[in-house]
Amino acid sequence: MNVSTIMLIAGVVLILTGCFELIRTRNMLKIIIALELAIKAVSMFITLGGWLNGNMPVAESFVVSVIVIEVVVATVLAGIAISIFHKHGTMDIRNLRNLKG
Amino acid sequence: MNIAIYVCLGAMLVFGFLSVLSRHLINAAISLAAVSAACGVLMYVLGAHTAAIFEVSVCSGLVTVIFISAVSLSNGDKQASAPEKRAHLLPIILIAIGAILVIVSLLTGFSLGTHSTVGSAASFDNVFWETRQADIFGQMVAIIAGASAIVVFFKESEKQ
Repeated sequence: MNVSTIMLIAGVVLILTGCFELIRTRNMLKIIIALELAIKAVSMFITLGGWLNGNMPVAESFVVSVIVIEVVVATVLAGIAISIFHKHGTMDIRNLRNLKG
Repeated sequence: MNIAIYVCLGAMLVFGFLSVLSRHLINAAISLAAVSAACGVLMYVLGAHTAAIFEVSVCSGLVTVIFISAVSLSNGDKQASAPEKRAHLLPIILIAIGAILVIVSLLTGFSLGTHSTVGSAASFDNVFWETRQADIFGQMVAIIAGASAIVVFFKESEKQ
């Protein structure tokens, strides 16, 4: 078993960890952390693909795009979490059901 | 080189488990920063130098600051300590899944291949600024949308 296969297995375990936490918790900040954890594994997979193909510049440009989107998603979700906290006094994700357009 | 990759992978897994299992949000955010740092080192070892710099500076720095600010602006840390189903079996389950994947790949002879030494002639600057311009515009729109969303949310909270 070579290094790239071990990286693939570690990335799958990281994604499963994030998905497990997404299912288990109801705190919005913990949900963001789980989402970030899964995105880290995806960034690692893209880098691994570039390393295997020998086409690292393209992989790097995709990773930079993923990082930018990841930060924007984390910022917006944190803002929503704070907004929910000020409205309901809790960060429970179930309070999103009460949103009205 | 392989030892560095194994150390980074181990650090990512250990701190990833800690960030999920941690009862306090501050500890979880710091563990996530450690995962980002290990991922950045891994990217640097694999040859993605620019992406590694972005990963360490943005994900390990900025996102951690955002999380800690969010925890400070709320009592999220106390809420995380509230009664919630704890996942004592999670590390065992995940280690078992990893062991099963290793055994299956050994039994089936699955292998991803090795590092290709045929490098691309183009540099990162050429690819990013000349052939991926649609990505750049998309990132600009995403950043503007994120900044606008933050302004709106904080304005709403000030009203309340």
